[in-house]
Amino acid sequence: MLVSLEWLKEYVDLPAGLTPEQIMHDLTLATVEVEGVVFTGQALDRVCVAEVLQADKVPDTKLTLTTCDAGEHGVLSVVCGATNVRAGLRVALALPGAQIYPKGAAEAVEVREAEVRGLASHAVICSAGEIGLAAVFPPADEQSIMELDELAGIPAGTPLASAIGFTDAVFEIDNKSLTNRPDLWGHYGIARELAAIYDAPLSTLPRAPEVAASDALLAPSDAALCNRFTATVFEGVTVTGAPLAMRSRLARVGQRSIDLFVDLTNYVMFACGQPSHAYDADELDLPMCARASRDGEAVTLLDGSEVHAHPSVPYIADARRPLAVAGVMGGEASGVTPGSRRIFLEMANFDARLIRAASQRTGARTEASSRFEKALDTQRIDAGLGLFHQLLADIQPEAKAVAFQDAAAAPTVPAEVRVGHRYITSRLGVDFPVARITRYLESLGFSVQESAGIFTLTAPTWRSTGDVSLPADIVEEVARLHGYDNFRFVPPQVALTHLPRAKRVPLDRQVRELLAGAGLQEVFTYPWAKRAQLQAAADSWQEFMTLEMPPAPDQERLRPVLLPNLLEAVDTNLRYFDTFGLFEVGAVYPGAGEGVAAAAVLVGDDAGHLFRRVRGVVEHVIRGAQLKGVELRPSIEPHDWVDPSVRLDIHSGGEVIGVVGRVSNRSKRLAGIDRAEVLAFECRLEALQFQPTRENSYQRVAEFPTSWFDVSVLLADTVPWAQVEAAVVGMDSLLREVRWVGEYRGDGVPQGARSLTLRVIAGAEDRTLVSEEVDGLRARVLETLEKTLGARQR
Amino acid sequence: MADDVSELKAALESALAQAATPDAVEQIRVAYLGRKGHITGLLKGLGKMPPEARKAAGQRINELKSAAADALEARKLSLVDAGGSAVTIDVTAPGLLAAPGGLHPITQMMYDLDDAFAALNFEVYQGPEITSEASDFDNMNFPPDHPARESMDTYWLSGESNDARRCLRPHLTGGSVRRMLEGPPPYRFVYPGHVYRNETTDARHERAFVQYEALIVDRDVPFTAGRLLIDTILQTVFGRPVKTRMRAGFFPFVEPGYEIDMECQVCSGSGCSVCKHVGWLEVMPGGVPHPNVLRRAGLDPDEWTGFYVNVGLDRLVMMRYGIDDVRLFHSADLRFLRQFR
Ligand SMILES: [Zn+2]
Repeated sequence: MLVSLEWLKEYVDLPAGLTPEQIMHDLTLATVEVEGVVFTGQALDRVCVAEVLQADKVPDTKLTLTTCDAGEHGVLSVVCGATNVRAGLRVALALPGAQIYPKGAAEAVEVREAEVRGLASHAVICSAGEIGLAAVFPPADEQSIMELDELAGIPAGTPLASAIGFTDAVFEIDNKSLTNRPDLWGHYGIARELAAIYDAPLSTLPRAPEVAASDALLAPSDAALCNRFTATVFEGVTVTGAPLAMRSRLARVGQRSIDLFVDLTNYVMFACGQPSHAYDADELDLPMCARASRDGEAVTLLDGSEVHAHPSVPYIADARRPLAVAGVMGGEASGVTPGSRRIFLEMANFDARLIRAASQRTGARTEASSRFEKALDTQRIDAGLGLFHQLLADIQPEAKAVAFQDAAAAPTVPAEVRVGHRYITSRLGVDFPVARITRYLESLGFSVQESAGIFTLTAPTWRSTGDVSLPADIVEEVARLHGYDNFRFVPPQVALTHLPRAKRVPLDRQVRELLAGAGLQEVFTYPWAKRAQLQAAADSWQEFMTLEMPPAPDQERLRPVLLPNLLEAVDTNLRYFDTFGLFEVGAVYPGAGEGVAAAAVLVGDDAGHLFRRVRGVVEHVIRGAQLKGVELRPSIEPHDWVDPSVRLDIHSGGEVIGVVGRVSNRSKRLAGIDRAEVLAFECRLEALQFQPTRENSYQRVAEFPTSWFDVSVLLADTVPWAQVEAAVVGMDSLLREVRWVGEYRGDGVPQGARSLTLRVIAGAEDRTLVSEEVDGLRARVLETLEKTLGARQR
Repeated sequence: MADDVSELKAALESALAQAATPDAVEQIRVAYLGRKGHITGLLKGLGKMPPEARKAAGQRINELKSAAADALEARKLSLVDAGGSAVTIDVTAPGLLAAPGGLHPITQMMYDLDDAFAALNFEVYQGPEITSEASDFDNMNFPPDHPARESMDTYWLSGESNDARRCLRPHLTGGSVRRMLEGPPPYRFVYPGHVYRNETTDARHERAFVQYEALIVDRDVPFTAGRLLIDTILQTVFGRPVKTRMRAGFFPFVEPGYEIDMECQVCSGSGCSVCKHVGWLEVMPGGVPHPNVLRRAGLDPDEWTGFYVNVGLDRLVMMRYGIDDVRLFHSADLRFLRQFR
């Protein structure tokens, strides 16, 4: 919303020396966000009022050579291409250095002295469009220059900005910050707020004169829709243009001038926030009312769009037909025309929710609807009518109001709030005395009574349509008028209690930090997944949660597991990297519920190495997060994405909660991954129990040194490491540990077999082993492997 | 004789001074103290001397020998100690990372904030991402016709009955009520999490982003206590105190509500294009939980009050690192993410 400082000053007597910047700052802190301030005169710099003294056609051209009196800027010869230029005309003259927008130019052009067809031209006579004034001076056509007859009394040479009232500061107010303050949707409301902020005098708006009451203008309206409906008939009007001062103000707040009556209703709305609509009374078949639309009824609106009957579209209708969409936009058929002599003025109040629905349904968001949908008080109609009567009387004294009807169904009831003095001071953290609180609230229009520490407050009607209703609202009013910046920080006093939760670091954080520490990079993906990715890595899922309005047609399903999106991330990153690891810990949506999962992918070219790494990562997490009862078990069941020959299950409490393994060729192909090995795990986290403290117990450190030896054997690929380990560990009580050293396939190793090197650690509790004992153990280890597993020594 | 000893001594000192490596010192040792060395030669020459001179000469040569041995050893040690690596090392070559993994930059900031609030004895609360209209709109005092309820802003799930519609949570604040319902007041907790809005994406708009909420509820909490939450967040993010201001703002779930502005960190408040020349940047909403919200949480709003703030972590992370495209956060692009490990 645009707000003119010059207009505000008509209502509030602001302290001397207050700059627009200061007002912008104070209003922003106390009331609404002012996003900027525009000095409207700046665009008209070096444009002045001038009088054409002489105008001569230049032979064989469409040009006219003029002599212009520009007052203090001298008498200038100017070449002009407009057809309406003539001697005696008052014009807007752009002097060298002025910025103008010639027809069709996207950017401003600076005016310079020039030579046109050999004729010197020292300035430019402007059209309204060239200097952005088409809203104030609606041009007859684009070529015509402005004819400033209205400025007859203004001396030539006067800056145009001051001549037309454009030496103004216009505030841009963020509409969003006005949502809950219907009282501020007009200049008078903002002025009232400034009067409270600066403790400045506020003028009152005029009251409407007595007009002969009629009961023939209005029929009963729909009570749920219409809280008040006033109708006034004016006779003897002439539909002219509005006076310059009114057009100028409207233009500065972004409203272009149409005709006197449209401008008057707009002016009243921008002044006090009350929309209204003027009809040609002779086009109406009275009485009028506001009611629901009926089947088959259609209205063509002023913008040319056609609206059809709908339960959420209410109409203003006369006895015969609908004429307008109530509270949204007037209709084409009944509008004021240049020939209108009698005017029917509708000034009404409508239910906020119904107008909002109507505005949405018709797609018409108008100045009127955006005010009504904030919930206006019915009493402001009185101010609107008073202003309308006064303005019209000033402009056309011969116009007379001849009939008036006021159907006030549900006047706005002033809100009452009871609030304790202590409630206010404890929430402010400052002991304001009663008198100070009273002063702040009275300046905002509240009536205040206080007795025994309890305030009984009556809000003004303009704050009573939902904005103010609670004790907390009163705290806000006092705080903002005192100024938020003027409150000192008071450290909150709290009772010191034990930790709110025993475990301070949640499991998902532990898992993320362990995975990052294990060399993987965390990524965020979306909670939805593409169909193709789901087919690649979650093909067995039958049920999905789906979005009503998905981000894309193939992304309506929420991910039941994380891996589909991680595979997509693999595909993305393979463009730039060959070897990497990614993980995500996040929400998953299996079937109808929600869970939390962790998943990781390791990408490279050696599946064997990657498998051992991903297994190591899982073991690192289990150890690091102290997960209870979680173990890895081999499995060969087929699964959505895993290659069954390279697979382990993650078990917890007898349940499979995750899978570790190689991403199958099929899944890779469907995910678009063609050149890398991908090893992955995915595991549900919500079932996991982690320990409040470590639960493993101490084992004595060996007192005597241990010995070790390596053994390399050839083994068939069908013999897994777990069997080798089991066979050796149980063999002799002196054998402490068997460690994996490495495996080898290639030269000297037959197909289908591998050379496996293991390290055996041996020791006794009560002595150091002698070398004969160690040699004996080594021989028995080899023998055991040969006999039980068919191994051959290398 | 006397001259021989003095000359040898001088020659040894000079040779040692020029020796640059332990090996050179060893060669000198051989040249002087070896079997055919100069000092050894002198000792051998003693036998040819007259007996009366032999004793004095012998003493002087032995002194030289012992001094020479000390000097050689000292020179050798000093050269060994001063020596460097056996191989040439290029110190300008890039460092090797112990493990090239890392947390997402938003996660990092979230955990920094969790730790800062843990120091104030705030708990970290986590809630589900699928939530209901009842929880996120009714409980939050949104009027029935509030635009945020409409499908265009919220990711509603399909196939839901109208009176129990569920959605991907559009904000976290509904979860705060859930947490309050879990146990008695007072409350001090933070609530980080992903939220989702149905938006057209561009460099400044995302469909998925991360919010961080902090709430304190107690008796007698003046609204200025909110500064504690605001300052904790901004100091953690920017590593130094940041000037802020509170101004009137309207949100359905707070009363009074505030917009909280921070001084523009680019121009230090003097005005620049980043802050649209006002010197301040809107950084988070906040306010006192609305009485209706407290009632939904089972609290008497005459007895309990508090303060709440909610900040978008995406934007803070963007401000901290100068990131200019919010979509990078969900891109899973390692070229981006690896910059923050
Ligand atoms: Zn700045």
